[in-house]
Amino acid sequence: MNEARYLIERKGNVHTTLVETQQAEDQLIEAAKQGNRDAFGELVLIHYQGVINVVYRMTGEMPLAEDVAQETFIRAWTKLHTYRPIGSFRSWVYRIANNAALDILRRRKEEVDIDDLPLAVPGNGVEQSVIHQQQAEVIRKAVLALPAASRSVLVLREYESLSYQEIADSLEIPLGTVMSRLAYARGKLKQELSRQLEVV
Amino acid sequence: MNDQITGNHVHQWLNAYHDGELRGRKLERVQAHLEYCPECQAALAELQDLSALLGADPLPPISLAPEQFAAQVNLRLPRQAQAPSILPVTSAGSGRWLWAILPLAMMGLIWFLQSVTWVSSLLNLIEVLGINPNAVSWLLPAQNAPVNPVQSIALAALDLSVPFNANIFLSLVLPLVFAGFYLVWLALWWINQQEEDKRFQTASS
Repeated sequence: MNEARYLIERKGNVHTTLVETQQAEDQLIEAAKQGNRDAFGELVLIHYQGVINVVYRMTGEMPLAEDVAQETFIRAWTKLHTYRPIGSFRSWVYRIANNAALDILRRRKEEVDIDDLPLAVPGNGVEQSVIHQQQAEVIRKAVLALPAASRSVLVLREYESLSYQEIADSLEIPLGTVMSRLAYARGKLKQELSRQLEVV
Repeated sequence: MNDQITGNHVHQWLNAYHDGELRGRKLERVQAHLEYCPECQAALAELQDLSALLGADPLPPISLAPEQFAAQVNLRLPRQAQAPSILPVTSAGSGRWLWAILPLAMMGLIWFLQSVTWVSSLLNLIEVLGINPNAVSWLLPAQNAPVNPVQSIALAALDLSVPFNANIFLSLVLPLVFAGFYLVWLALWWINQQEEDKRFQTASS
């Protein structure tokens, strides 16, 4: 009984914290809309990692992802007056990030020659086995080989855990399209990875 | 139970189930099906494995510390470019009310003028029928008194003492003028909406 009450209270507290966080973000957005750079800086700190993650998964290159992420926030700043709090701010920023990444890929005239991509920099490196690195590279290349439209949906779901509705808001596509693109991307990946990872 | 009997699988809902996007009866149906269907269990396990594999490719370290990243962005920020609206009414607040007030004011004016027409026609009818030969003078009580210039211009324009002219003016010309105003208002509203949508869309381009 006490445990149940504790869980309810805890859930309530988490909910309250989420609401407070959302309110705080709304205030930051309002202040940034008025031209407050510090408030916008706070928004950058909240979302920069997610934005870099999205762009990295779309382009496959970390230095490029950092540049495009900066470009994303600059675009967001200049277009901030057009932001309407219909969907989440995160979805809105990710849409800009996704489009910025696609612009870069388009400018290069090709969707990244995945065989020329550098190996991912191993995180804290030493203990990671070579097999693990190879596996990670195979996965990364398989994701990059997906069509951009399906890849965007997959990245937002798998790497940023956006809900289907948030993905629909972010990419401005219907919910049904989110589901079909995600199913397609996963099916294609499963097929590709089961073939590739057998070799590894 | 039906699924068990007919052998229907739930492949099309497995992605949504795996992502925690199913609710209500659909969720119950998929859960019930998964309890006895090894094929769908295997398909779900594949999805879970795939997500685990994707998660096994972590984000490489970011070269800049968060504060450095934010500082670099801050340095590159241009002055806030508030795109001016082509019409002042696009801005929030009083501008939005203007869109509603304009047609309402126009409607009010039409009703007022229409009422004046009806009243003047009625009075003229009373006069023509001989019920009251001075009926029109009710409408213009100060007819014989000195009239100021504004009044005289207004009366000349409406010429209420001549029913035919007044009726022609009010029943033919005015509606056309108002229809024109309304179409212009509609066109401006439509252009404004298009601009708003375009600006919203280009936020991400």
